[in-house]
Amino acid sequence: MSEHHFDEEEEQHLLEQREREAKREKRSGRREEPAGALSMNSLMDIMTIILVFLLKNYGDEPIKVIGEDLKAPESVSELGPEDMTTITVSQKAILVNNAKAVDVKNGAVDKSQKKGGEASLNIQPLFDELTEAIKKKKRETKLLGQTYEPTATIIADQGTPYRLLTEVMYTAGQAELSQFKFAVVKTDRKAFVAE
Amino acid sequence: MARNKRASTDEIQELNLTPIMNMVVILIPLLLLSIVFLEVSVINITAPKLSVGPSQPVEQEDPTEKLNLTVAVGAKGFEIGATGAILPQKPGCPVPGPTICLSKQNVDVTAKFTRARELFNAGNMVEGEGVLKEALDAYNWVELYNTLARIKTEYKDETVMKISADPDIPYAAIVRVMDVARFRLEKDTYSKSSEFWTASYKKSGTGQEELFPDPVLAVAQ
Repeated sequence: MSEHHFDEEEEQHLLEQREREAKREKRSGRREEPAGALSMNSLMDIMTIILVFLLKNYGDEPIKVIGEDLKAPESVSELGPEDMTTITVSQKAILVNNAKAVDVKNGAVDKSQKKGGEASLNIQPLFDELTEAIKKKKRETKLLGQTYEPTATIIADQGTPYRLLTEVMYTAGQAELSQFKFAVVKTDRKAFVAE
Repeated sequence: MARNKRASTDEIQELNLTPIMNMVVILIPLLLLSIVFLEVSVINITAPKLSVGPSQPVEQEDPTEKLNLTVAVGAKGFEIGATGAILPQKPGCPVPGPTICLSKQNVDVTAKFTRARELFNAGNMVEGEGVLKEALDAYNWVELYNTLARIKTEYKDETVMKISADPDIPYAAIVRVMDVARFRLEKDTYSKSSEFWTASYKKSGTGQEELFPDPVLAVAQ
């Protein structure tokens, strides 16, 4: 008698019915979850954890050392960065606290921007911008009751010529900054092995 | 039908998570892309004392004790000097030349630095970095370390090293010099580059034994 139950036509009918039922169920939202189906809840938990982790990391970095036209050199230094006045020397511009001070072309600042001709080390727009930034910083530290330290972080591209670097430091020195911190990408000594 | 209806009303009302899920799914790749998995560290530098005239008082130190170690990075190699004298040349180097010449004499580092800068300007960061690394690899870092370690053994209290360079030497090379000069490694002399770069720091007490960890930058004239 079982043979009668499973003839082709009936089987087809059963399958169709099941399909319809499944469709209906889908439309009306999951009503009865079959045992063993993937639960959305656990997935949701994972997502939430990842999201919180990423959001936390997002605002963590006090300084940006990598960008479109900027990559700090690699170093094995182990000192941590601090939040302070930053001077960024990218391939295209010099920025003070992310505000553009002067353009850079082929690893040099245009001589018209320098105070006292081509041989001068003083980059005037950078000096102005720095004095402004330092004034602000001094006010800030005074309000917070901290002591002002004349330090700045220099984030320079790895290809920056030494000449430009000294010009930037000289200008910063004129603006009464005496201690510098070079921002670098932390790496391992083994990364320097020559092929 | 009737049974269906009752079943749906009996059910606990679940929060519709679909829109939240949508948002989360969009946010995660966005944040993943924007995050740079890089650790940033800093190197402390003392500003070059190059203000015209003796504006700063000279440090009260016995002038005979002061080593005044200077490492100058040039296109041909390193020039190491101390208190007016320049160290004798390393054997095997071309005679009118720096103290430590390039380990790969046939590499034109100046051309490579220029090429790297051109590539960077053209926005080709990856290739430019490769060229820059090739140029840096031409320098004899091992011999620089050997020499510095030898000097340190003689002058145990010195920690300051002046660094100077030709005007177009890239920043990466300067940072590398500071890296080499920072700590003493397990051995005082190395002969092979691979051995040198894989060596670990020599421990002393709680930290590492220092070599010349206080770089002072001098101005390029």
